[in-house]
Formats: sequence, structure tokens, C-alpha cells
Amino acid sequence: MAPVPDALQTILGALTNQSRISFQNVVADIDQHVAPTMALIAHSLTVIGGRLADGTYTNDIADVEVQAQLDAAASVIVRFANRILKEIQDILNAVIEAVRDIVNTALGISLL
Amino acid sequence: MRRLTSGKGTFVDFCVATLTFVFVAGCSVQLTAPYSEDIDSEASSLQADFVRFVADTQMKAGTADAFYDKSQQKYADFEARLAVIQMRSASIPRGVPCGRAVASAQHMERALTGPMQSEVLGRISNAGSENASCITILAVIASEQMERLRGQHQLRCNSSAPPARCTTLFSSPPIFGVILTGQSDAPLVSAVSISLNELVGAERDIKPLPKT
Repeated sequence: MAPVPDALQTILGALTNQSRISFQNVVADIDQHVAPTMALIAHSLTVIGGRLADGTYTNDIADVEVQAQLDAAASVIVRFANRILKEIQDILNAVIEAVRDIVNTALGISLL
Repeated sequence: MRRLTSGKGTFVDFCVATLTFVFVAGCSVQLTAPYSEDIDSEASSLQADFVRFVADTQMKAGTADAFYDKSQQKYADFEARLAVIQMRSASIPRGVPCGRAVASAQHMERALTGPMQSEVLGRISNAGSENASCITILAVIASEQMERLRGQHQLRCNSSAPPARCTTLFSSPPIFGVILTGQSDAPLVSAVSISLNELVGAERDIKPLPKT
């Protein structure tokens, strides 16, 4: 196997290190935040169904409250999507940072 | 370094050159909306005020003190502050349109599979414009949730409504039973709390880490 050039190794190192950190963060976010919040929403839907069944809620009240649960779930998903964008952004910027170091080292001056 | 200076057109050279161009052009990659300290502090203080309001109303639920007419000003304040957050968010660069990010997240997130999937995704696409940032969409959803709670408070907590309508809206103390545990008996308040918390959290998520 041909030796990996130093520049490539540096860039790959930056890419893999940041990717590992970023995806660990995403997995932790799912386990610690997304899943428990979705469970809370599921519980709320059960409460609404029970109250509709026993006559505590009218159909109109139940409709509004179910819609609110869907919006809560949408909020969780939008934040999660935003989080993924941020992690991808961090990975790309780590690579750019590595490239900057390589170019500056190669030139012997802080060009970038 | 040899590869960079040898003049051979390798793939690595291409990638490095492309990224170098990005950097020379003065660009680091910005996919999310930029962090805004204004939005962060405004959303955080709104969330704290909302939790205090709900905790207070819980204590009074079922009595005349919890009637809507006594809380009208609070809702006006909450909704105005959400409108300010929405306007601020819409006025800064939005990054990648959030709808596209949601479509990508759909492939990664197990919570997105299930019967609610299409309804939730439809809801996201209806909130804000097609190119809105995730923060703007979260602010829009939080505003609509708050208006939903205001409407239900008006309908269910008044002299002509049965007291149970109001107590089921706000549940009973403690407040953390509604917003923190998985056993909320106040579904609408809980939903509003979740939407506000996601707005605050999303802004915090994009806060740049201090350089080490």
C-alpha cells in the first residue's frame, strides 16, 4: 500500500476526528433529548384520547390539543435537523482549518 | 507537502485547491443561521417567564383567579416577544433552508418513522417560508402554540365554563410534572413548553464554542 501523503493524512485526520465527535453528539442528542421528548408527546396523546373517551374533552378541544402535540413533535424534529446542519458545518470547517494549516506550513508564512 | 507542490493533478490536490479557494475567498462554511445573542437571551427569558406564569396559574386553576381575563396581558407580552424573535431571525442570514435539512434528518432519525411522520413533516413545510431557517420555523411554531394556548385559556377558564375544563388545561402543581417528566396531565401546556424549549435549545446549539 502506498504511503499516505502528509497533507492527505492531516486532512483525513481532521475529517475523521471531527466526524467522530459530531456523530457522538448526534447519537447522544437522540438518546438524551429527542427520544424522551417524543415519549412525553406520546403520553400527552394518550391523555387526550382518554379525556375524549370519558367526555372530559369535546372533539374541538381534543383536535386543538392533538394539533399542539404535532407541532411539539415538529419542533423537536426541526431542532434536530438544525443540530445536524451544525455538526456538518463543524466537520467542513475542521477540514478547512486543516487545509489552512497545511498551506501556511508549506509556504512558511500565514497566508490564510 | 510534495503532493501539493508537485504539479500532478491528483484528487487530493483538487480537494485541497477547492477548500483553499473557499478559504481564500474569505469563507468558512456556514450552514445554519448564525448564532444571535439577542435571540438566545430573549428566547431564554421568555421561556423562564412562561414557566413562572404556568406555575402560578396552576396554583389558581379552578378558581376565578385563573380566569383568562386576568392573564390577557401575559399572553399579549409572550406573543409580542415571540414576534420580535421571529422578525430578528428572519432578518439575519438563514443558512441552508431548514426544509432541506429536515429531509436529510429524516434519513437519520428513528423518531421520524411512524404514523405521525407525514403529518409532522407537512406541518414543518407549512411553518414559515420555503427558505426559512430552522430558528425562524421554530419561532413561528412557538408563536402558533402560544396563540393556541391563549385561545383555550379564553374558552376554558371563565365564569361560564365548568372548572374541570380549566384544571385539565393547566393540571395541578408541581410545575415540573408538566414540563419535565414523561407524565404530563396538561398536554397543551406541555406542548407549548416543548416548542419553547426547542427554540431556546436550537439557538444554544449553534452558539460557537470558545476557541481553545
